[in-house]
Amino acid sequence: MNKFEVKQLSAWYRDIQVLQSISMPILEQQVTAIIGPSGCGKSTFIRCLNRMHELSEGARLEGHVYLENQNIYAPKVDPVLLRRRVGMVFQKPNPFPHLSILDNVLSGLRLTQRPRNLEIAESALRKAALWEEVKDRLEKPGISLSGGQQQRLCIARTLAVDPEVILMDEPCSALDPIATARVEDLIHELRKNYTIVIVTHSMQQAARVSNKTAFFLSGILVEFSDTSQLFTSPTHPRTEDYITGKFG
Amino acid sequence: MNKLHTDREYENELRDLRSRLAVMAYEVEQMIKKAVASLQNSDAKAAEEVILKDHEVNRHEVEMDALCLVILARRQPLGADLRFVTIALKMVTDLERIGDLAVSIANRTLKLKNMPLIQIPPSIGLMTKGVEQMLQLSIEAFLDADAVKAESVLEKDDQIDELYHQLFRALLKEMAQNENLIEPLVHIQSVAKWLERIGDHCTNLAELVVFMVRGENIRHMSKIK
Repeated sequence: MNKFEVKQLSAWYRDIQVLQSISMPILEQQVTAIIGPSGCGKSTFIRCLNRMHELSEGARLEGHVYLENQNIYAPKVDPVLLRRRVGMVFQKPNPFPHLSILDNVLSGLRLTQRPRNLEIAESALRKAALWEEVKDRLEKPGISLSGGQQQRLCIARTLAVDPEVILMDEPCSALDPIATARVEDLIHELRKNYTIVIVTHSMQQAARVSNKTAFFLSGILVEFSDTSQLFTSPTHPRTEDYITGKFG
Repeated sequence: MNKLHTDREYENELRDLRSRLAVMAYEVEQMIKKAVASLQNSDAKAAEEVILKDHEVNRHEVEMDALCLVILARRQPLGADLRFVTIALKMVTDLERIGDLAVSIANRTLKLKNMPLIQIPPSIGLMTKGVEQMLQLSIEAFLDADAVKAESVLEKDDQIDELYHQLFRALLKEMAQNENLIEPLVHIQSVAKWLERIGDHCTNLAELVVFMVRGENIRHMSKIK
């Protein structure tokens, strides 16, 4: 079943077009990887899925993005509420430096003025496979954790607001191989309950974690297919050139 | 593979693998030719040369296995490169087996030396030419990434099988007529069987080439699309 349906989505930063009429589904409870060279529009694409693109100066878009058949760009849709349903994890772990581990996890809920809820925090930290490592130091600063732990803390923070979709923008690019393996293991676990879209520069990571892969080039969706198909027998010669390193 | 890889060292590693495979295939082809010629000419010296050559082919197999593993571990190839390296691993095994079969034929030359002299049936020569051609075509198809050429090999295997069955029946008839020749004729039957097996290995090579080019696995299919 499709969680998202993207139709003829084009996006601009001022007069520079970064996405050109992208149409593709995002399947529910599947991991979809977006790959492509720098500047191909991968990050812009996922930022359009939770209306973060419009927060950039000079940004605009055309086309439609449906989340469970509802156009997320319809006037009645509240972008803040949308971002609770469609959370995002960024390239660099970004815990709030002045907040404890516990308050970092609950920061999304605190913004909506809910009381400090330990049960939600524990549940989110368990889902992010971090609970056992931090349960005895919840009041310590979030930034006291290692880089990999900080990234899982950010994932816990995203999970605490109970999203349906998690967007990940190169979530492991700042992590060592062991921390990367932990995050990838977590992605495998999370996909049982969440729809995940991951932007990655690592084709091996896309091959390891995703069910579907989309290859973007110069703002165009060149190929979208099963990950196993795309990395062994891609249909399009430009995909073949990119994944075999004959590109550019 | 017209476009070059951005990483030139990687490009060279793949080229090295390709050229080593071609060299190994050439050596194996020469082994078949020499083994059958040794049988036809009762040339023990040539037979012994084939047996010695097998060590070199075995060494090629070990070295190419290692090279493929290094490429897989260091480069983590994808797409056409992944198919190329994985089929190279399999092709090396088929080529090495063909080498072993050539050695078996050479060994029969040595055994037949001390037996009653028999005429080597012309079908053996025909089968040899046929499998040599199959091997050449498979390797050309591999080097040119030509799936159509590879498919032509599959058709030739039926001809080799037919030649084998005809020869088998003829040998049985001859054995029934002349009991003194049963033992040497059994050896000739074995040689024919090994040539037929070489044809099967060439078929494997050709099927692998089709997979490398098209990403389509045609093995064990009754008909070619």
